[in-house]
Amino acid sequence: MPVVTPGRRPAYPPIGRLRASSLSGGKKSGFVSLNLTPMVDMFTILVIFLIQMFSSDTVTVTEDVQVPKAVSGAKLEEAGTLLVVNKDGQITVVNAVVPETELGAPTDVLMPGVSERLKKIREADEDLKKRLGTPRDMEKPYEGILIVQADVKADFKVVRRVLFSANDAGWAKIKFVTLPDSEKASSQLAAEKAAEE
Amino acid sequence: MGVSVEGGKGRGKSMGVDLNLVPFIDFLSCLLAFLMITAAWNQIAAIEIEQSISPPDPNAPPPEKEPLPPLTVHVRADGHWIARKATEGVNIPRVGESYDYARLEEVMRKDRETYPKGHPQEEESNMIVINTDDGVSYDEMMRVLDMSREIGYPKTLLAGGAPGTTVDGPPAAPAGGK
Repeated sequence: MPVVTPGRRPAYPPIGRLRASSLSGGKKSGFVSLNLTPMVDMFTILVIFLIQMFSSDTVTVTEDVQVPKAVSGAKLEEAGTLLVVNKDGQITVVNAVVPETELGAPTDVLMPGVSERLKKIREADEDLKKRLGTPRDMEKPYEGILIVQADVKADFKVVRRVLFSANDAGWAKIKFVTLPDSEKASSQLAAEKAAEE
Repeated sequence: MGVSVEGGKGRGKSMGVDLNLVPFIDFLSCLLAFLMITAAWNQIAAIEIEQSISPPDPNAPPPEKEPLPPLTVHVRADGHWIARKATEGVNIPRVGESYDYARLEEVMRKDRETYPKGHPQEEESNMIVINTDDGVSYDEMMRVLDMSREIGYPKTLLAGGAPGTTVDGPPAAPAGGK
């Protein structure tokens, strides 16, 4: 341990001495260079992280649709055809609103406009796969995924009619978009811990 | 930040080339702000159901023994009804404005205990029918679906109709998912 003589010391070394030090070239200069490399590094990493976050989302929640919260929902990783049902019962298939005149009577089970559109999408996909040399196995149900994003306040009757129309168009796999119910999950975790104790 | 390039002459003259990082930092800041504002911070999830496309084969031989009826939850405007057999139905009326989900969960868990995974009639014991009356919101159906998946019913059949047209108990023909 070095022995130092007690006495007053300045909190900072005098600016003049710093300027005159060998680090700044040994002469008095008013130029102070900031090392920006760590900041640029941090920015780059943040940008890469955010872009990765964007690319991992196969679907984004539509602004005016409030999707339900669920504990059992699995992360949506596969891409699919998006169908949105808003709280007023308006239906959008791949960003195109289905006119009310094509939805059939409210008492009907089938929505002709929805069924027709989904059939066209399926046929176009099957045609593309055929051209690419990987035709669909006709003995198995169609593998395309219909992602249903419905508002919590929508009447389930409308969603049920959509499901029936999708079935009519040959779509077997349906996914209901949800958001994780973190509140319920954490309360369940707390209850489990309490039960263990 | 500077880059020092040694001169080619023997005098060791160095040329200090200063890279102007300011526009680059400006660009990164703008990009960062844009991405942070537009980023969807909520992790989107989904509950999957699989629909049966082909209708049941009418020529299929009848099962050797009576199949176990699936668990049916009838979501009505005034509450829930739950049972495997119509004669054993449990009515769970609304508590005030909201449905009694705690009681529904209790009955559902009891059924899962009676017919656990690995039951001889596993296909039927794993299935739940959610029968929803017209006018019931999508959220109420999703809460029942979420609860059933959480408790351990991997197969769901969605059915429904106008209030009064659907009878309590397993429906005669599937009207929705598998």
